[in-house]
Amino acid sequence: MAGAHILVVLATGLLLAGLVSLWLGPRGGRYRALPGWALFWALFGALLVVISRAPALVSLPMLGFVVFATLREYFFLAPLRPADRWAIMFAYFSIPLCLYAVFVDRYGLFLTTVLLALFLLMPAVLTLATGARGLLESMGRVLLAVLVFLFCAIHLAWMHHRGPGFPELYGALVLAAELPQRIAGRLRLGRAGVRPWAGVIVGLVLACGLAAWLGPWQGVGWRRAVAGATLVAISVTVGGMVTEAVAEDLGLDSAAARVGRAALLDRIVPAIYAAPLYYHLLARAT
Amino acid sequence: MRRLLRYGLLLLFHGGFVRPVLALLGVRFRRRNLVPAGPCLVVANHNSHLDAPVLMSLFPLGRLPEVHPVAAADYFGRTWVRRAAAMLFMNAIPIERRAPAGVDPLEPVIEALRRGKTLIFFPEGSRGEAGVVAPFRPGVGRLVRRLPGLLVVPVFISGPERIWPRGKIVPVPHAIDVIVGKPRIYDPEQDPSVTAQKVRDDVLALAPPPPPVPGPRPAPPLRISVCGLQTPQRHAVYREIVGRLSELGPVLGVGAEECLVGEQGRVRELAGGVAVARGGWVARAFGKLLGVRGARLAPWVERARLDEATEGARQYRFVVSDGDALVELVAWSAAFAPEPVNEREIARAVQYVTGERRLPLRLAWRYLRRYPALAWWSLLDLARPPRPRWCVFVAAAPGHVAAALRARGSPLAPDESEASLERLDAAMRQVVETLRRRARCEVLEVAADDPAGLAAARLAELVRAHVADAGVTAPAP
Repeated sequence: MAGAHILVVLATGLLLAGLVSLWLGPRGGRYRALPGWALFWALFGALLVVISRAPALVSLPMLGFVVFATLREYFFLAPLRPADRWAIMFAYFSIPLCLYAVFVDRYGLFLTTVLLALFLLMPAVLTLATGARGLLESMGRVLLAVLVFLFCAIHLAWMHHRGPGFPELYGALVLAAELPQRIAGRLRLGRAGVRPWAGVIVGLVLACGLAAWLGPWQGVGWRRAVAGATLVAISVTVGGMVTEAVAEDLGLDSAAARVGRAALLDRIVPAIYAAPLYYHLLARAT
Repeated sequence: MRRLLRYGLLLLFHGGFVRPVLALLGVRFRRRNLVPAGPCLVVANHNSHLDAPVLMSLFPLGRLPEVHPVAAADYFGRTWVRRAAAMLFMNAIPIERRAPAGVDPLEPVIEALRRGKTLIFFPEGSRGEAGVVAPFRPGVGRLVRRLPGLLVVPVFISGPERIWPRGKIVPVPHAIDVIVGKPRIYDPEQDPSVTAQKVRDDVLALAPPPPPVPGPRPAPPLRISVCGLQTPQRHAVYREIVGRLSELGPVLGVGAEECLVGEQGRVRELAGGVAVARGGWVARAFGKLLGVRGARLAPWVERARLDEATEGARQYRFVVSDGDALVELVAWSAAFAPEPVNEREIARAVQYVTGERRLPLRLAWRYLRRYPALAWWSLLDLARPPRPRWCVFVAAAPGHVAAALRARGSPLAPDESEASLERLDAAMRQVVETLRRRARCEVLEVAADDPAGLAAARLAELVRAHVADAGVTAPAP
């Protein structure tokens, strides 16, 4: 089976993450969110395997539902003005449009959908539907959602066309970069500490090592694989920082992130943030 | 046959359409376990046609034939489509909002409640503006007056007003939160409009607080625990302290049976309480199966988790609790330990209970034999109650407490005998003293026969001095 060894590596990584979370989770503190995160990764890993190996008619609707659920949670946490409901509807409608572009394998159509339909039409919808008061804040909230939860997540679907192994490799790299960061505590804007930095560096080294080992199996040279993995690891860190900053701006404290609706966003943003970079640097380069 | 067909249609509609759609929308019920199993009146805010199906989803499918939303006959009876939707698919009871003189429009509702049905009632009377809870009409108060002892369940719904607000045709997917409050019985002697206002307050008390304004966050609240054997005097001291401290800043009072909120010298009861702990059943099961005496573990877990939850309640300046799970658990373990316990062991037990340290596995067996409740607490990481900053120790004579318990009439539990209460009292003193010496907790001892107001005044003075010294700033309004 093509890419079976990468599947085994991903499964091992998920098992390791599960064991670490079971070991450290009961200690509480910064480890408290680990079991939930490991559970999310078990499901996300399964989704990556489905994207890699199932027919597009199965994997794309499944991914579409995940994107829908994520957008729904985000719009609950970062509510727009009541009159902005058409913009929300527009964001939901763009999911099948983007997935259709993936289905017919036309990246140009996908880019047109995102750039024209969302980045140009969305502000128009927001303006026409409501008015000027609070427009910029609403626009910022919608565009962030579209950029992170739609543009990044749909790149997972694009990996479907690159053949088996690439989505699993993505999962393995992101997991390798994120697990040490989760254990050490996440790096935050303006709050540098030795421990979070150590997590970032260990994650980077792990991801690069994995890429150098696994990349050539997928036809990616080890130098290119290491360069790509470096950017993926940095993207994971940045994704985590963005999540923390957005949560802080929305007034969601860590307790809410642990048990409330913010948990999904807390876990999915770092997991999908690196997808476009990975797709262009590693998956599409072969 | 006709009734069977109607129930079948109702169950098919809710089981096959409403609940899957709500699952897709991401509906989340909080404290669903508070919905009584018997007849009651569910009262909620109303902003959307989706509110009634969402509230019906609180109940198991099998109970739906007994659940009726109250619908406005003038609106839902206008066309046959609306009538069919309300009567067949929603099992609604229609009432006339503008009934002719001499006719009580609430008569069908009263009749249904008398027959043991559960009703869903929207006292606003109509879908209001999205996000705004309009004044409640006195109808709910009149129901309370006509049916003394009526169990009213306040519920706050958030989300449907964004999915399908009034005047909009197309629904937009959005997550839904349904927060269920503690069932209450209101005073039937009260004026109906006053009752309606109280019900509205209770529904609004369930609404999640608005997001904090950007900028530095206020400090966590100062925690004050009223400890000692459980007596009416202790409860009186707790209430007095909440009242006194409310003059200094917003106070949250966490009692054994109710939560109080004090602000600017006024104290009111919080209908919804604080998030009730989940997982108490684990403690209950362990308490019974593994020989934890008295099976007190589950209530302690719930209290400790409440204390844990209130640590994030930064909108309050003080949190006052009637009893303290940390003190009671450690004291109880020490009191009924096979050998006397010294201060060092108590200090360590406090660390295990607060989660600052975990019970080392090498000590697990010893602790399981000597202090099973404490050992399971730490091994299973059941809760992490924070340490109090102030302890008000209400010293009650164990003899008097035992006499009061005997006067109750029911047989005494093994740990309610005078000898047991004496040991428990001594252990509580030891724990409080340990907290004072080793955990920088300030202790104020009050005799049970001291006036409660005097103790509260003394504490308020001490807290006022502390706040002035520490320069603690009040949280943002």
